[in-house]
Amino acid sequence: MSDAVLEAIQVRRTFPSRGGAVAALDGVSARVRRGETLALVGESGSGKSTLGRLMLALDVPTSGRVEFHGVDLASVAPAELRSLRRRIQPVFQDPGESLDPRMTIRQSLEEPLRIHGMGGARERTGRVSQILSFTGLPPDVADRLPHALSGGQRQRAGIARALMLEPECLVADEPTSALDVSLQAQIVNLLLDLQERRGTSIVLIAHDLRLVAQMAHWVAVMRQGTVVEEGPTEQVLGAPTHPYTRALLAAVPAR
Amino acid sequence: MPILLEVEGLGVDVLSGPGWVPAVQGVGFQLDAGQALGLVGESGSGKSLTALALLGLLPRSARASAGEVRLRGRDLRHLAEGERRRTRGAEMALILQDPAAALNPVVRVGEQIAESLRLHRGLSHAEARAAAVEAFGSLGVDDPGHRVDAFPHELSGGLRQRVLVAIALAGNPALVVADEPTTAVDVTLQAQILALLGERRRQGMALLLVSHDLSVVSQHCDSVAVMYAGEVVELGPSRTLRDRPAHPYTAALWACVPSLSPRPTGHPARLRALPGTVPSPGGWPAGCRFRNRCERAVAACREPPPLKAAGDGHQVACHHPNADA
Repeated sequence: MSDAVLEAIQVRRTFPSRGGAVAALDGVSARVRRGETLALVGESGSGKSTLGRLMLALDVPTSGRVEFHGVDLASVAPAELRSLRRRIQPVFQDPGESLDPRMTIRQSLEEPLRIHGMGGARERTGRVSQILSFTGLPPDVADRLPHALSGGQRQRAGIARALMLEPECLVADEPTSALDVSLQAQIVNLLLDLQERRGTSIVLIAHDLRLVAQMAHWVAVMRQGTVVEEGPTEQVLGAPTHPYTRALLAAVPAR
Repeated sequence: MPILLEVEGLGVDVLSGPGWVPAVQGVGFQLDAGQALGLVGESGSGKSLTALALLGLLPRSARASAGEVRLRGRDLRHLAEGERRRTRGAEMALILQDPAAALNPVVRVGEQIAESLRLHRGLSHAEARAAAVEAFGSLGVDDPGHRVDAFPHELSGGLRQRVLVAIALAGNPALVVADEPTTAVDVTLQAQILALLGERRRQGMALLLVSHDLSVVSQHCDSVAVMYAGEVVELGPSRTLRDRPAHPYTAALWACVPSLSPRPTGHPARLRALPGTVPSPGGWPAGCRFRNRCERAVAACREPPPLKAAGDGHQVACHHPNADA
């Protein structure tokens, strides 16, 4: 019996290309447990974002499967898939991708509840205030448009939207790479608070190994569609065995 | 021989609502051939405006308001636009963060590199193309002879970034200003680009590296200027600012940088976050502009602190600097 919340098992994903099919993922397995963070690291082209999309059920594997609490995401009926997706939410690098520029923050935050037919108007308003305060945003942000927020506030609002449905799992693709070090520290602390209080599982897709060292329990190092090394963070970053992991570590700016 | 770059009392205003407000004030530093200076601060600190001002490339919403920028003793601010344009590229070049915005989407990348070679080094079409292939190859691009015929959208973000670096270096400039050149790219590519800039520095090129990440700047620059709300608050050798930062803002920026070292508990650890954000131009507090976010603020901080010498090439603007500095 596996205690994984979200698990990729021998996943392969190919894309058509001029010279035949190209495998973006070639037999990858990875899992995240309850209340823990799995980091997927590697260069661009390693397949880490493709795996993230599969774990969000935004895409289906060519072969292999992605399981949420043991249920194959590709096997469920569309209505059930919708309710499963509610429990696995994305956090993007660029909050512009999750916030509609013409909607106020309140409308953006309420939208997932309306789509899933959850709560009445009063409950939705209450939930918005609660999430804004949890993510450290002042209440007056609710009635502003995204462009009137600072970069750090927009990223918090993106996370706030992901949290509206109380997901069990977040898939965060480079959640801080567009931010200053000071805002990065604030967002990292916010995600760690969330994990501690709610037991949220996080799939962290990142190229900054320092961020990974700070946040992850388990690390999978990916290269050209395969996992070349994985294990507990202290082990993979402290005593790497694969030359590629060592090369990634050597490229990190030292203090 | 005059020093390569001297910036003195530089000021920049930006449009805010109905009028102009100061966004950069009294910024000064020097940079000699073969040296690298890092310009560090959060968004809103004025570091990018400073970089653009010394290249004469400020957007319309900003204007230089004071100060001098001298390249080998010549004041660039009083050059005619034609002469300034010749100076850019040939003597100084800019590498921007976002390759998508800086490249022409409908021109093959090889042609974009070759264009700057023809312009600045007077090469013929055939020579420029050969040199473009070579320049692209020297940036660690596989099969450069084939890749130079691609359009920007056919290349990955990392390759596009390398095209920008190749264009900037094409004219063998004496000074390169790089504004967050590696923020959008992988760690391995980041290391490659910075290594390449380092190689050019050993041949005498000067580098002004603008970044929010103190660890990157500290590793690749001889000295660092830390900016906050439009002013330089600390300036000195990289090692001094790393080992003994005197200004509480410099120390706070260091504390935000996550560390690679394994956590003793094996559990995720909170970072020491610096709360709040930089106040906007027009909204700077009187006195020390950092005092509202500062752990060490005292009553004296209501008066503006002057930038004072604090040892060997080290200057700090703080009434209550860190004790062990």
